Amino acid sequence: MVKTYLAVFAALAILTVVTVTVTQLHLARPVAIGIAATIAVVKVSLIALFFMHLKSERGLIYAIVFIALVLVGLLGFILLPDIAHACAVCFSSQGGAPGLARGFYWGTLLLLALPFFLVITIATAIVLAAKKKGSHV
Amino acid sequence: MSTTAETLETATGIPNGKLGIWLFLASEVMLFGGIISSYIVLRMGSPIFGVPPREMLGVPLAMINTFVLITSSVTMVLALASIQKGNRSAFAGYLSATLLLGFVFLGIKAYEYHHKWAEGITLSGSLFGSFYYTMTGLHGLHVIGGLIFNSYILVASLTPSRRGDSKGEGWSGSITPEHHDRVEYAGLYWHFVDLVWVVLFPLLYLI
Repeated sequence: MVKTYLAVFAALAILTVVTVTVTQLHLARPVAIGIAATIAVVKVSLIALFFMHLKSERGLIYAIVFIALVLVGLLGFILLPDIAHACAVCFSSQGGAPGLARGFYWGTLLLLALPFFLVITIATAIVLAAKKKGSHV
Repeated sequence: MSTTAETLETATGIPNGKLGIWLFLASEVMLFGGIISSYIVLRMGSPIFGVPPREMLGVPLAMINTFVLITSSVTMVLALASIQKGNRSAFAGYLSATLLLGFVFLGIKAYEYHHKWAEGITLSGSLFGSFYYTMTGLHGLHVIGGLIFNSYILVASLTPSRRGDSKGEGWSGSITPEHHDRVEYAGLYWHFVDLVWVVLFPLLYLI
C-alpha cells in the first residue's frame, strides 16, 4: 500500500516538472493547452483513484462523482465562448435569413403557451373526474 | 478503503460519513467548476482579458507550492495507513507534517499575494487579477478549512478522552485504530484541496 502511495507521489512530482518544462518550449498555443490539460487530467485521476481510494469504492460513490462531472461538463458546454457570444435576439439586426426573427417570436409564444395548455388540460381532467365521482354517490 | 470493525450497516452499504463527504465534495466540484468555466470563457472570449507576462506570475514559487501540496497529500495518506496499522508515532508524525506543509503553502501564497499586489496585479485592476485572487483565495480558504479539520484529527487522536479505548499502545484519544473513519474523511477533503490546486496551477500560471 505504502509503495503504491510513494509511486503515485513520484508520478505526480514528475508530471509537475514535465508540465512546467513544456511551457518553456514555446509550442503552438493549442498544443500547449492540450498538453497542460492532459497532464492535469492524469494528475487529478491519480489523486482521486489512489489517494482518495476511488479505485476501491463502490457504485454509489462513482455515481456521485459521475453526476458532478456531468454537471460540470454541461456547465462548460453551456458557457462555450461561441455560444456565450451568440445573441439570440439579434437575428434581424445581424442580417440573418428573412423571417427568422418572426419564427423566433412564434417559437417563444408557443413555448410560453405550452405550460398553460398543460395546466388547463390537467385541471380540466381533475374537475371532470371529480364531477363524475360526485354523480355516482 | 477497508471498512473498520465498528462500521454499522447503513441503507446504502456505505458509511454515512463517507457518503456525506463525497456528496459535499461533489458540490465543491460544482463550486470550483462554475468559477473555472467562467474563467475559461472570459479568457478565451473577452477582448479585454490581458494576461500578465510569465515573469510577473512567479511560476517557480507556484511550482514549489504544487510540490508542497502534493507532498502534504502523500503524508496525509501515509498517516491514514499508519493509524490503520496502529502505529501511533508514525501517524502523529505524518499528520503533523501534513499540517506543517499546509501552513508552508499558505505562507508562500501570502508572499505571492504581496509580491503580485506590489507589481500591480490587483483584485480590481484587471480581469485576470479578479480571477486570480478569487480562485486562489477560495482555494486558500479551503486550505485553511483543511488545516482546521486536520488539527481536530490530531488533537482528538492524541489527547485523552473518555471514549479512548487504548489497548496498551497509548491510543487514549477519541480517534483510535478502531475508530479512525474521521481520519479517512479528513484525508478525502485534503486530497480534494490538493486536486483543485493541480487544476488551478496550469490554468493560472502555465497556459
